[in-house]
Amino acid sequence: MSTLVAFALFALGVQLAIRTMAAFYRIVDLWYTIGTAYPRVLLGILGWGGATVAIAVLLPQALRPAFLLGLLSFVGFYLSLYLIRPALVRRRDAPRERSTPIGDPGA
Amino acid sequence: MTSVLSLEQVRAGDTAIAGGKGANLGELAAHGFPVPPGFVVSTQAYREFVESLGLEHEWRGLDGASRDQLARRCPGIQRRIVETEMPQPLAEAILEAHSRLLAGGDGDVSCAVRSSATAEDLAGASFAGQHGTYYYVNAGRLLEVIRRCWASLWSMEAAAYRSTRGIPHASVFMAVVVQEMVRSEVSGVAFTANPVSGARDEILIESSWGMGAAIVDGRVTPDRYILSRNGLQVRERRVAEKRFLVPARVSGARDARLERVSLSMQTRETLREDQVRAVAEWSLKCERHFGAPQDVEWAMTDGRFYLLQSRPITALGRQEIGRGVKGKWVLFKALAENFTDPMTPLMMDLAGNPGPPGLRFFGGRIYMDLDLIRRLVPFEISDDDLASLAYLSGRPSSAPLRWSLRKLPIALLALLATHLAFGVVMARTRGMPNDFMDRFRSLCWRVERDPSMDAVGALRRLFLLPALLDPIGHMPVIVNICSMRFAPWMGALKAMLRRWVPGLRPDAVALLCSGTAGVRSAEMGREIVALARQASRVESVRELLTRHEPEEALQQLRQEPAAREFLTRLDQFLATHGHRAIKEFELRSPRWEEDPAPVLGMVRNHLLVTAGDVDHEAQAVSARAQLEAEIRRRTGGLRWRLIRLAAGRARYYLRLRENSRFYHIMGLGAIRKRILAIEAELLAAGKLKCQDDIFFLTWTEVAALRSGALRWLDVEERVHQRRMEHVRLTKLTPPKTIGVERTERVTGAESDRLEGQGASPGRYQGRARVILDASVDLELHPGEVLVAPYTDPAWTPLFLTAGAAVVEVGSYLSHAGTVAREYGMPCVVDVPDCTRRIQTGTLVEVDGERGTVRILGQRSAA
Repeated sequence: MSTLVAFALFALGVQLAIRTMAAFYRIVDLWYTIGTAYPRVLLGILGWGGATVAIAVLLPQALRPAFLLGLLSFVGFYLSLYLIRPALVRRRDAPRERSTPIGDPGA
Repeated sequence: MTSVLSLEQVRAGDTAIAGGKGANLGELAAHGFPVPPGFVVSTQAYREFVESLGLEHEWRGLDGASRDQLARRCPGIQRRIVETEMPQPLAEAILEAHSRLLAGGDGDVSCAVRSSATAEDLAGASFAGQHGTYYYVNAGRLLEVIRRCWASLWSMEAAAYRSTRGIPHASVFMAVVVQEMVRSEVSGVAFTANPVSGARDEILIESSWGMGAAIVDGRVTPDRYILSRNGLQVRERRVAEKRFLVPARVSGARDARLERVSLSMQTRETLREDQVRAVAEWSLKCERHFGAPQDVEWAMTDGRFYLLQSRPITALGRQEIGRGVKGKWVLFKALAENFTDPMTPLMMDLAGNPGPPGLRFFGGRIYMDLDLIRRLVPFEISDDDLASLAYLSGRPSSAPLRWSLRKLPIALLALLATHLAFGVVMARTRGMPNDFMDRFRSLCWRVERDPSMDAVGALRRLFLLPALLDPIGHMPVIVNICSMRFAPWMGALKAMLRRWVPGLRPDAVALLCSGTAGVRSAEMGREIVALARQASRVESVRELLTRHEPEEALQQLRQEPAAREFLTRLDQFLATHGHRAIKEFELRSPRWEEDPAPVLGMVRNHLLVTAGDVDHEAQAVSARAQLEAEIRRRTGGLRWRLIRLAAGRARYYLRLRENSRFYHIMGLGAIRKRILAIEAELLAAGKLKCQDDIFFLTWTEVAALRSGALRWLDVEERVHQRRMEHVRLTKLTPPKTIGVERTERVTGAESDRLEGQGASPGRYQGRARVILDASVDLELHPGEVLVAPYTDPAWTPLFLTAGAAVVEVGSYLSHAGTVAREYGMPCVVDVPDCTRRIQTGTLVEVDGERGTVRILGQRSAA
């Protein structure tokens, strides 16, 4: 049972990390119109960020690690995408960089 | 056997000595056809040369080799052939024959040097575009060019082509035809049976200024004549705008191989009535001589007719596409529905960089890996049904879908992975203002102006590798992926309506999911109409636009003081929509900001129609309001709010999907500008000879040309071959699937009823107008039913005039469907062969709810 609860809290941590990050991203996404959009941006950050903090604080000591692990795992995973993606693009691109011999249209 | 033969010495049965082309030309020359003088370097010369190189052992080892092995070994064979000098006696014999050829001319003779392989006559193997052809060859280059023709037998493409058809490599030999280049004033091609419609009682002639390469390589849209075989009466005549010609002479290594045609000549008809007849008569003589319908290349100079080539019309087989390929593939409809032409090599190279997993190019079109899709779909489903689903055909599968518990975990894992990878961006795209992607414009500007950014760098920055702190507006591709969430909302809406409000009109879902403001393509159509209204207010502007071709009209408008307001409005239009183009997903397509002629063409067409537009929009608004009132009355409270929520979300994501395309095209426009800058640099340095040729190179080759690792001579043949192949592929309708056994569905379709997919609701009766090319034929009268092979934004203004639309390709989400729904116009997409089965003037009934088109009557005078 406790494993199931821990798993559910881990998933909740992941989900709240997604929504909180998206809420923070609203600052850059709506920066061009921040003069009018700021209430919505603030509401998102306070709503999702507040919910995340509240859950983390209110959870019993024994269950908190699962939630925080979900939260941090997703942040780590998300940041790693930005490291992996360029490497992946370059690796897939490597065969194309070979010189093209005479007459081979490089198809 | 002699190494060098005059053309007159060769006959049709001499394929083994002179190759297919040489034997054919020799036969014609010997029977008095007006073939330009020339000689043949026989296959014997080739055999002796390659034997002296000891290459026989090498190519025998190629039988059964894989494509990768061919790619490794062919270049070595080619290099040895190109880089080794010919034996002295052979070289002397060739140069002597060349001198004799020059002696017959006026001292200013260039030659065309063409490969003529012995396998060209093999059944089912056309080798079209596989072997080298060179123009403007003088004595200094002749021997090298002949060696290059020989080497072209060992290009990776030619070897792979032989392999897939089971032709042993060692059984094919190469002769070379050297002919005087006729200084063509007009040239073209003729078919003694219509290759498009298949009609045997029609002759089709295409002609353009200058050399025929302009047509064969697809550099110009030629004039087109369709004649009846009996009496040679012209049934159809289309005079195209021929902007370029390939000149008959060039001087100096740096001279461009493409010249601009003067404005007065661009729209002038290339052939007089008697010349059209002369071409037809000579073509029929060829057919009578060879006993089968012929594809003839011809030229005219000083009133004399020349026959450059005559060969049987080969049935264009789309089964050629993907032949020998392993696996099962289905056409990627989301791209195919935007334009039906194959991609150019550069576009393919960049689009495949990096090669997206599960996608592959065949015949210039992109296909999805059906086996990969099968692994991810949690159903027990046949290949045929899966292909139908993947192709978004909207047709019911042959059997109900059955869940597969075995595959469910993989599908759930894929779903989870997608959620983790896209969860943040999905949340970021929710509820954004309509203008949030406008910021992408400034990113494009920065990329365009960054001299350190090449095309690949631009592609990565704009599409593949967003920065960590980029706003979501900088990621149109990701937005496009996220917008697929319209589907579950639409599904939920459908389920709620079925359960809570049964018996509603059948198009209720489509009606509720359309009618949003801010769909860019729909707005563009309205702006074109506004431009036309502006033009119609000033008589001189109206006159210029309706009486002159768009390019000429624009020049004159710039000098017309009364046109200032119109031009300001045009500039405003181009500032917003100038990155769009006809066939806009192709980097080769000129953007409207480079050449606004298509925009002026659209404006002109609105000026030419006298009656007002068909007001579908008002009808749709009223129908939607009535429908919403009825649903509200029958549900009320929470249910109504849930229905409204689902409809609103579906509308939002559908708009997001269409608008993200607007910004994709903007990004492609920025990449095109980087390519054009490189092209200008290469043209100035003489490393390229013709504008537009850069799109027929790979990016690696472009880089090699810039660095000097490759020269023009190294790529000339490749460009020519690829251009011919591109023209050939353009004529092929791509197969929807490769490697999938498909069973014909019994649809119950009658001869007068065509079935497709309903993309926009409503029923409409009207006369059909078949339009094949939005850049050429744009005359659509108000209320007519537009019948088109595909649509992109260049077609949008027609939607405002049309009563309904029927499109050969497409899906509910295609451009045609989205814009038609916004305009409230009935539209049926994915109607195979509709442009052939429906003729202009035919009375048709379009049913956008059922996805059917019924032919009600015969053609009237349209």
